[in-house]
Parts: sequence; C-alpha cells; structure tokens
Amino acid sequence: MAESSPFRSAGRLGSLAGIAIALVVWEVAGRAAGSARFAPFSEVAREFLTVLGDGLTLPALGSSLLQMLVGYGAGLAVGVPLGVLMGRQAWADRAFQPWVSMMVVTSTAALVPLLIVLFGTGFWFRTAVVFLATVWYVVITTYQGARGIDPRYLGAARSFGAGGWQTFRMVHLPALFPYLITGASVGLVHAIRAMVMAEMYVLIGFGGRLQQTGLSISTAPLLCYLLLLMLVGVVATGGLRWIGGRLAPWYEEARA
Amino acid sequence: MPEVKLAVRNVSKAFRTPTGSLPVLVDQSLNVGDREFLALLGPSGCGKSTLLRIIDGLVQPDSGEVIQDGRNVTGRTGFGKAMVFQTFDLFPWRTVLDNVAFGLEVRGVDRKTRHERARRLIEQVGLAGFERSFPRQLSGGMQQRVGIARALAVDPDILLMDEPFGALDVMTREVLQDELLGIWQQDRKTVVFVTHGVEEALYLADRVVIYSPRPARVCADLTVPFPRPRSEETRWLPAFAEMRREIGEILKQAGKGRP
Amino acid sequence: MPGRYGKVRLESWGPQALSVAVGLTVWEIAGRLVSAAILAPPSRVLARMAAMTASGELPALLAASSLHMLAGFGLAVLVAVPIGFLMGRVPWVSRLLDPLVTAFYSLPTVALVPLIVIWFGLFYAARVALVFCMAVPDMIVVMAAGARDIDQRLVDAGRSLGAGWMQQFRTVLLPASLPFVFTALRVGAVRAINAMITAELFFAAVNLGASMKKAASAFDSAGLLAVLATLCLAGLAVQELLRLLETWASPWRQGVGNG
Repeated sequence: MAESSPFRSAGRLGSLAGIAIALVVWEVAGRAAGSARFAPFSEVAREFLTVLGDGLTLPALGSSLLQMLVGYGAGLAVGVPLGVLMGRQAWADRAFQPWVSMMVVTSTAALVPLLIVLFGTGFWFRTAVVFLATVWYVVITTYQGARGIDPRYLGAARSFGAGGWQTFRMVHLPALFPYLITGASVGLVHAIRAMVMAEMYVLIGFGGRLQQTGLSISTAPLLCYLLLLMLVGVVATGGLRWIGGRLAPWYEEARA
Repeated sequence: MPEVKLAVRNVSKAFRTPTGSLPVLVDQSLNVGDREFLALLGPSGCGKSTLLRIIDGLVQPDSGEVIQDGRNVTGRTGFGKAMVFQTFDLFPWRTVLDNVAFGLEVRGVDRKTRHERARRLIEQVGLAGFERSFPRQLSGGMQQRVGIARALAVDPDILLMDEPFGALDVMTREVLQDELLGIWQQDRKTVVFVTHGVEEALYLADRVVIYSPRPARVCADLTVPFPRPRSEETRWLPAFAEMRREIGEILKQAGKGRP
Repeated sequence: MPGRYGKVRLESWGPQALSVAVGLTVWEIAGRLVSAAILAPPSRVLARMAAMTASGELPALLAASSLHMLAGFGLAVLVAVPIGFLMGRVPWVSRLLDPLVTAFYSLPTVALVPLIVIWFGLFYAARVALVFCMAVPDMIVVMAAGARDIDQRLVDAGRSLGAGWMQQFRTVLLPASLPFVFTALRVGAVRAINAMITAELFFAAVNLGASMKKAASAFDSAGLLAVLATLCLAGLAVQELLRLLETWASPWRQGVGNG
C-alpha cells in the first residue's frame, strides 16, 4: 500500500497480463481439446451472454445466495460472540477449544448425509450446511483477534474510568474490527463453498443447475457457471474488504 | 509541606513469576502535597512505575492503601486522576480529536461539548490542524502531546505521568519538558512524574523522591529549590549541576552490592 | 522437570476433558430421547466403531480412502509450495498469478466436479484431481502470505555476510519458511481430507463415502456417525502428526508454538 502510484499501475498491468496470458492459454487449450471437453474462452464468452439473458440462471443464483445469507448470518451471529468469549475468558477457551478444533477439521461434505437425515433436503438443510461451514472459521478468526487485544489499550481505558460495557464498545470492538472483517470474508468463502456443495448434492438451486449442466454436450455452459461463481466470490470478498476500509480508515492505514 | 492531596500508606506489591514471587514494593509510603510537582526517580525496573499504577488504581496492591483527599481510593481509577503513559497508548482507531475526547466520552459528556473542549486542548499542545489525523500518522513527540491533551481533557486534580518522555529523542524531550512546564505554570495541578532521568526530575519537579533498585525503597527525599518559571538557564545554574552530582552519588550508593 | 511439565499439562487438559465429557453426555441424552434413525447416542456410535474396527472394515475403508487423498495432497504440495513461495518473494510472479489464485480461491472447488468427471471419469483419477484442486488454492494463499512476511532483516543479514543465492535459500529462507510451510501443510491437510470424502460422495461412491451413503439410505445414523467420527479423528490425528513433525524439524522454535 505504501507503494507510489507508478509501481501500483505496474502491479495492475502485471495482473492484467496474468489474466490475458491465462485467457490465451485457455483459448488455445480449448480449441485443441474441443468444446465437449474444454470449451475455448471465445465460445464461453458468447455463451455467457446467453446465460445472463436466459432469465433462469441469474434468478437461481440470486435465490441461492439469499438462502445462503441466512446460514451465513447465523454463523456470524454465533461465531463472533463465541470467538470473543473464548479469546477473553480462559474457561471458555478451554471449554470450547476441543469442539472447535474437532469441527474445523471435519469436512462439511461428510456432514451432508447426516444433515439430510436430520433436516430433509429443504431450506433448513441448506441453512444448516452453510452455518456449519461458516461458524468455525468465524470463531477462529475472532478468537485470534480477541486474544491479541493490546492490554495497553485496556489499561488506558480503565485509567480513564471506563466501565465494562464502555471498554467493550470503545476498545474491544474497534480493536477486533479488522479481525471481524477478515472473519466475515473467510466465512463468506466457506459459506459459498458449502452452498454450492449442498445444492449440487441434492440437485437444487444454482448448484443443482451446475451439476446438471455437466451432462450437456458442450462444456461452455458449465464453464459459464464456474465463471459466474468466481465473480460472485471475488466481488463478495472484495466488497467486504472495501466496506471494512470505509468503516475503519485506520485499518487500511495499519496495513500500509 | 502544603496540605496533603494524596497519600500512599504502607503499600506492598509482589508479582507472581514462574519461579516464585518477586517483591517489587515493600511497605512503601508517600505523601504528595496539593499542587505539588513531585518526581519519582529511580533506576529502570525498580518498581516506581508500579507505584504510579497503584496510585492510578490500575494495579491493586497486595496490602496498603491509597488515600486521595482523605478518601480511600485503592484500586479505583478515575476520581480526578489522569495518566500519561510511557508508550503513549493512544487508541489507533480514534482520531486525535476523539482520543483527546475519550475521557469525557467515558463520563457521558455530550459530543458537542467534549469536542469543543478537546479542540481547545489540542490547540494548547500545539496540534491544531491535526484533529482528524490518526495516531500512527503522527511522530512520537506529537503522539505524546495528544497523550497529554487526553489526560488534561478530563481536568484532573492529579496528573500521573509514567516516564512520558522516555520513548522520545533528546531534542523532542526537552521541547516537551518546556511545554509541560508552560501548561503547568498556567494551571497548577498535582503532578506525580516517574522518570529515570536525573536532569529531567530536577528541571521539572518541586521535590524529588529517589528510589533504590528493586524492591524499591526511598533513598532520599529532596526539595528542588530552583525558582519558577524555569527555563534553559536553570540547567546552567551551578546549584543544578551540584544537585545532579549529589543525586548521581545517591543512586550509585543505592545500586551498590547488587548484581 | 518432567514431573512439573506433566502437572501443567494435566491442569490445562482437565477442563477440556470435562467439556468433552459434558458434550458427550448431552448428546447421549438427546440421542436416547429421539429415534435412533435420526441421531444415535455416542455409546452406540462408539460400539459401532469398535465393531467395525474389529471386523477390519473401518481400517480397510480408511486405508483405501487415504490412497487418493495422499496422492492428491502430495501433488498439491509439489505445486502449491513452490508457487506460493515464489509469489511471496518475487513481485512479478505475484502480480501475474494473483488474479488467478484469487479467482480459484473464491471458486467453490466442488463446482469443478462436473468438469472433472468429463476429464477424468468417475474413479481414482477423478478423486485425486478433486483433492488436488481443493488443496492447492488455500495452500498457495498461506504460502504466499508467509513468504511475503519473512523478516527482511534476516535476508539482509545473510546477504551482508556474503551468502550466495543458493546459500541464502538454504541458510535463511528455508528455516524462516518452515513455520508457514507447516501452516500451509496443516491447512492443505484439512482441505485434502475434506476433498477425500467429497470425492467419494460426488463421484462413484466407494470406500468411506459408499459406507456413508449406504448408512444414510438405511437410516442407520450410528453407522453414519461412526464414519463421521472416524473422519474427524483422522483429521485431528493428521494435524497432531504435522505438529510433531514441525517440532522435530525446527528444534530452535521449541516451546514457541504451544500457544
């Protein structure tokens, strides 16, 4: 961030070059392999416009993402307080640590058959999958942030007579903020992963459409869907970072 | 001595370490007069900072008490005390203005009033124009000016300063010493100033209490006779050099026979 | 002081054991209240695991599943570690690859399943490919971040002592990289085990995945949870193994990474 602008534009140029090279490689490989195995970029780009206009794909993606937000929101609502509690209270750390480490290594996909038994394949199933995929990463990130709060700031606040709630609002929360943004964006990556996986498994929503497109003759529609997912992920995490930078100007500074 | 503003009575403190208990203060007492500028002088790590933190209420002593205006305030922060920290300890997420207004915000002063007062103090410490900056955009000297303004904003009776200029370079330190004296001259508060600099203690204080290495005990309690307002010339008085030499001797004696 | 060390461990493990015990009890009670088809209590899950282990079924399934997991993970390490390292140390490599890595990191890997089916079919090769694709982006991200943060002072010290590129790599970069290489391995291992079971559920159902599917369609939640618990334990065991390996590989950091 401390780089001056010519370097920055050189960086952007390098990134554009990277994308350009990748697209050329894709095009050449696609033409060599044929669209049944790997549709070239030009074909996928044309297909992309059709898919955008077909009136089915985008609504499917939209409603899948909306449903995902429920599980993701629940993951944040549970994960943030739990992470803070574990980071600030030794007893909570010890009590929850074994469960958190167990759940983090447990694959979300392996939970899917069990969750289907428990919830069926409807709304609650998908929400549960997304929640379970999100919450532990949010807990871990928040936990690290809460543990790392500099005791000097807590001392200064106490010295000025700040009470428990005031200290939480005026020291803990802002000190945690960068970690909350990181946790929210890592959690979001995992939430999108889980949403697609769950939908592909029970053939529903956007993920279901994606799974079924795999059966069509050309891979172009499939690659379109993948591109769309990439865009969603990049835009969503980038958007969260941007919001973080806007809400917390000192945060952007701190990374310089 | 004038009327006693603050009294420390028989305070002891030991810290737990992996190898056992480490006594830092053993049965220490201290009186601070009203509107007196008192310096606590001692070698680094001797326990004088711990004593200051006990006075502020940040650290609970194992035994003994802190009496302020006849009231027992042991282990309680606030109550007309404000602290300036060695490492500034400004909140990195607050602008200069909101850092200075912090203590008032804690007290529930409304936004307009506390910002007005904060602006006045920022101007007083010479930082007008930097209200919207964040601490990390400022130099060390400027950050400590904010630290001083933050403490003065709550209009404390007692100003506690924990080696406030220790982390600054020599030039900045002398400038800030003069600025502190200027501020104090206008509005005399009771100040307890912890330092390990002999010259700093002599230049600023009315009285210097000298501590031995850990566990801290009082080796000497000297009144500083130089007239106020003090300035660069004060440092060149023969009596200043004489006292500096004397205190150096006391510190050397106190440090003898220790590892 | 082995005795002392043991005591400390016991002290810190006590509450955790208690928490696991409480959790299992709650689950046991809940499991007994609801139908066994939905949530079997841990006692029955444990009994099932014991029976499946005794019959040799579970170890055989786990070993078979591990085959493609290890193959895919190994390939992922070979690709991700050098690429991630270069991205962290060489600016133009980072600029060139950063958009691609970001894109693939944001893409849910499981969405590649239909494409992998077209390229690699439904069996072993497809499973290896999925494990590879799932582990690589996360590992590259960790590696690049770690390599970027290598203390420049160490590199400068090596250079000022006249170390050549190869010497620098061996004496400075390699040891400085070990901590985040192991972080990348741990992150990658979680992803690889995740992918191992995902592959067996999404391609042709074999090994542990087939066992899960069979149990699910028979509403045999004890069987389902037995496989799940096995996966969870395998994941924890791999993490612990990597931690031991790290301690062994970097003896100078001993006692640091226990936090």
